[in-house]
Amino acid sequence: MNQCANTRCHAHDGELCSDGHRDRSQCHSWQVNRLEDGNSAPGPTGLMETSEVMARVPWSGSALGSDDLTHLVPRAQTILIGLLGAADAGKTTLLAVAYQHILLQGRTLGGARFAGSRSLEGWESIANSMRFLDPARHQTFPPHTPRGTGRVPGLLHVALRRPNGSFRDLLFTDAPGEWFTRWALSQDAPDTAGARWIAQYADAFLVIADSARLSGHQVGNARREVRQILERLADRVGHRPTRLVWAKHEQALPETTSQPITNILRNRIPHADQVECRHDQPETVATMLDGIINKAWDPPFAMPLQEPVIQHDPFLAFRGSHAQT
Amino acid sequence: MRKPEIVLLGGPNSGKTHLAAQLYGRILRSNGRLRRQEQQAIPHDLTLLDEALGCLEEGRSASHTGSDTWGEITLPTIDEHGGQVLLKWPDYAGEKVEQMLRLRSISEAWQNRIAQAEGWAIVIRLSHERRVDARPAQPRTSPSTSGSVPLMSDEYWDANARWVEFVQILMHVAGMSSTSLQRKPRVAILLSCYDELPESEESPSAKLGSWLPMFYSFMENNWSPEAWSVWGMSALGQKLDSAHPDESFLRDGPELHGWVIAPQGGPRDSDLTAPIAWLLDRP
Repeated sequence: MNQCANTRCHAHDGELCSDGHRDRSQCHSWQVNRLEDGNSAPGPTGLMETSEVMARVPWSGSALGSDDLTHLVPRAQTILIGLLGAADAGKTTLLAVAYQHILLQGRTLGGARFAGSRSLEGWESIANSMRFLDPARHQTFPPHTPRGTGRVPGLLHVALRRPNGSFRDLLFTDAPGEWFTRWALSQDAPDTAGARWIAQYADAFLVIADSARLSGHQVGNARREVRQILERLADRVGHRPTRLVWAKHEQALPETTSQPITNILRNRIPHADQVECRHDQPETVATMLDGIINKAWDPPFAMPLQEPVIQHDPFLAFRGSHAQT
Repeated sequence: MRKPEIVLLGGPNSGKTHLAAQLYGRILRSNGRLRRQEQQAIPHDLTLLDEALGCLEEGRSASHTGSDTWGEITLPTIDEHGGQVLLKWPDYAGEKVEQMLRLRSISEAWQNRIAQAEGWAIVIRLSHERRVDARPAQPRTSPSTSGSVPLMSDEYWDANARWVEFVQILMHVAGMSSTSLQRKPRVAILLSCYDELPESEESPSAKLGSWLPMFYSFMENNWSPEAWSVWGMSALGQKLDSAHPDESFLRDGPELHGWVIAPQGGPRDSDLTAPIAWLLDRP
């Protein structure tokens, strides 16, 4: 088997050995499988076999998976932004617009500027579907994010630095909408692990409501999906920043359609706000993202502990210089 | 004597070989910022530059560097402050750089070179860089089916993303972190064939900012301002043909051709060694 015994290592994909060995044959975990198999036949990646001693990088460029986070998370404070919404609501398109019209143009995002990305291949591939590469091909929305297992949820990464020097690794979830509709229906179903992971670990949430669908003939279904996702999220969100995004907002929705959704937001997630954005107006996407990044940039401080006074003797009452007087 | 190494990084067709040959001529025969050490012999081995030097003397453009070419040019020089500097830079085919990007790996020899180099000179030929522009997305009329749009390989990447990825890989293999601004190695971005770009009042720095904004932002947010700079450069000063010799080159010799523009803009300076001298300059 041409694979490392360490299941979290992706050296067989041509990435850096997770123990940092330049020459894989020096790596204990890599050796284990070699000795067991006793085979030296070239594997599917024969190219890699010929150039064993190479300096490599621990990222493939594609959307990051949970193993990749182990390399990234230790270096700086991360902000994980969960993009929630039903299938086809426009989650991936929002990301593509953000890449093509904000990052590639060198514009600021949340008051910070681009300082690198470990998922450029991922960004490029979602952005490619909206580019005019050849005139014969029509411009389309990014392809559907299929529901599957493997290295999911896909996280798109961008490193940002503010003029004052503060540095954050921003991660956007790029997950299929079916995850969230399933999760909204049945929280503990086995195929909702990805959605549960996002709900548990995200630092901020963007819930995408598909305005185009809400103003069409599928309004009932569309409204039910958004409401269910919001209700499910409300149980988990706590104080984390949340925005409801009216995506594809080319025309105003009738109040009878939007009211039931905003009611849930007001009652169940009172700290959340709403924002409208249009894919053909990149500045609305920029404003939408700026808002959530600004809120998540510096996490709120923890509540100070109140130590009860149980002794009034001044000597025993001394609690160290950090105690509040 | 300091023995600083410089790595000259650039893709195929970016003009590295012309630049190397012209730099050699300048250092040996002109009075620029970097000069030849009087008492030192000229380099023992000139085979790497032989073809390029010959072509330029005749006013023709040199051919493409073969992909098996691999060597190092060593030049004993004196810098502006009179310090002795043994300048070394590698010559190789630009495809090696493409290969680094495609395989996302760098050979051990290169890794050591990159990690130890005093300066990185990154050669970018803006007129050959591919920018992909997109119109804002229009609402989809028919639902797409899964997988109808094939995933693109990196040859479709926007030039911004390619250069960012390239420098990121270099930084990683050189053991640099990106959480704080870098001071070492110094990076000089040489915008080669600057004569091909439309004339404007923009400084080279602003030019890079407007052509490759994401890459510019990446550099700005990973290097401290005094440790990187952008130079406009035309190693030949004009376009040469491989078949038809240019009269002025034949008449005056290649040393009189070629110029650089300093990062903040300004007049054309015939001293091609300026960016290299800046790379070697220790604050």
